[in-house]
Amino acid sequence: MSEPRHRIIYDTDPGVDDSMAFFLAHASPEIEILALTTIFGNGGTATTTANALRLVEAVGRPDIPVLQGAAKPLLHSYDGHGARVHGADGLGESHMAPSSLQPADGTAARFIAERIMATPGEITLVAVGPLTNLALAVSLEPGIADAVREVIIMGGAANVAGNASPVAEANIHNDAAAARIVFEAGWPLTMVGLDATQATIMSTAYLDDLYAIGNPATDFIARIVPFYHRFHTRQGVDGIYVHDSSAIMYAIDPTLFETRSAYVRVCLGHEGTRGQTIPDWRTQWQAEPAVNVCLGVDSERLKAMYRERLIHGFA
Amino acid sequence: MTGIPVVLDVDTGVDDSLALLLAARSPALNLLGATCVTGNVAVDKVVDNTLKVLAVAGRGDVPVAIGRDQPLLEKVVSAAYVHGEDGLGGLNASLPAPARDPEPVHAVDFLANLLATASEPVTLIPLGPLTNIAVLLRERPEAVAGIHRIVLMGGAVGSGNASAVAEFNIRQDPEAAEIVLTSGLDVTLYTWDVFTQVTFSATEAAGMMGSDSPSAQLAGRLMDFMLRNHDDRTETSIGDAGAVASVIEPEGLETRQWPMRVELTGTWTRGMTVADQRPGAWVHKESAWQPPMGNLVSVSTAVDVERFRTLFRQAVENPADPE
Repeated sequence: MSEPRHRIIYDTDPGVDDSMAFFLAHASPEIEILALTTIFGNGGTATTTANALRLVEAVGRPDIPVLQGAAKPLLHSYDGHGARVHGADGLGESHMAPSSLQPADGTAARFIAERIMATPGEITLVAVGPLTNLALAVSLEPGIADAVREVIIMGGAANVAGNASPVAEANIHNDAAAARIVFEAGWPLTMVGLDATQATIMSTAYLDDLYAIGNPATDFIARIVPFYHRFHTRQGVDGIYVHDSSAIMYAIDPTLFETRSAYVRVCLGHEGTRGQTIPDWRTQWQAEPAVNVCLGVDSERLKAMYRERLIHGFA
Repeated sequence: MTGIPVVLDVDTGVDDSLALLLAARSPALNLLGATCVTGNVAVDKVVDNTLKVLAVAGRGDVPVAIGRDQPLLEKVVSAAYVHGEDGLGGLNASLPAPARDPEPVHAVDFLANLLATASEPVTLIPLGPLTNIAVLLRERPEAVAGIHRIVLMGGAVGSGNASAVAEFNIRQDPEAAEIVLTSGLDVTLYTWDVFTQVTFSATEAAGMMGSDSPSAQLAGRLMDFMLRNHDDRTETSIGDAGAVASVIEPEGLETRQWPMRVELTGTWTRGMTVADQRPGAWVHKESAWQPPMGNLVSVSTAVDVERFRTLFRQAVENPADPE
């Protein structure tokens, strides 16, 4: 490895694809997971926290702390639409037994702020849900913008249509004001949005082969993905989009992605634009800071890596 | 210590200083702390000003915590043209060095800890942009249990000051204001509509400067600065101190309860506090009409000027220890 491995705080709303991404991160030597911080999105924060605890328990890492995050977006109210995609339990209606673990004391935002400041330059934030916790963290401690190593988010749509609205991706739509704060905080930010995540589809055949691996991670995945898969089928997709795992993949190997840098304005809500992410490719607004935007991905290599990691990480 | 437990969230600020003097000297209040936010001037100046003003008031024991240095989304806009470069009308350097350091924790954590351990619910009196309070409500939502009510200086039903329709504190951080106004807490706005009405003349300011009470002397000097800085004025307002007065003597503030939301977009109206003054029966009258805003806050409509003038002057001129 040329780069030192990423020590990540995984800010997450598990969530089916959040769970798939967690297993990928856990199985990858390029990544050390320091903590999970939770947020509403694919379910309410209580649901996603319970699921985060199930994840660390499932991989035998009860020592990884789970910190509960904000219960509400900064503005407007949480719409709860995630249940249509991820099921009422956030895990594809798999109805798994609750974890015996408890969340750690403290809030997600305070933890993020203090953990980054404790080891400047070392911590990478990977956030795959609405950005409320990150916005609160940088509000509490603006110094983390300089002290964080890198921030990688799953969210946004640069040159493609949205999914939560004609123009907005769901994570940004769920808390547009928080996203505005995160996009303008001035830290090294990579946006892994729908341009990249919808370019990779794990087909029905790919998923069947994945389930057949038969280790604890793929067994977990086999229980939670079918509900999510059916949602995609109803949308006319053969298989599933690879949203959150793409953000983890960027941390593992950014050369998988085609990127371009631009200032990205997060729209706050006028006339249906809430959560739209507009890249200023021609620098006409002359605004800062620039964000590293993923526009394409080597999907075949990404999918091969995902499968290989899931085989060897849980052998 | 007896009295109504209060915390002031300030952007000190000339009139914030008057508010601090009143809160520190009034026997009706138990001032538990002050939290600072960027507003009139940058937060580091606000902290220094706040510590010094409290020391002048004989309340150097009051903890002061450092809060947010910029609004949630907006860029910082200084009001040094009103309050002087130091935020204190040039008086900061003439005041004794504070005897106390700011708290080692962030204003939001200070508030959350204080609210969690207070023996009775606390009245919050925010006098600047609402950034700290908004972050508190989202990051530490359990803190609301410790809040009795919020009496804030901000908003306008009539003309604004920062824009045609927006008052400065709300315009500085409209998103934070929207979070506070929709919090479901008991919120009262001491608005720009009444802000300018409780005034003292140059003669009265000179009288305070000649008082034996250090608090009155400082109040008089601050008023003297405002009068000299605005040579079109013959009287100067106690501004934020009126919001504190309305906590001490609520009967002195006439309020109406309205649904009220903050305009977050708008070409000319961002930061406007929009009061829905339609009779309730109208709101659902036509399906095409905009539905209810979904909240209810108390909005100042008139102030008992003489009552608040007397209250202010007695509190700052009284040489006795407020305890």
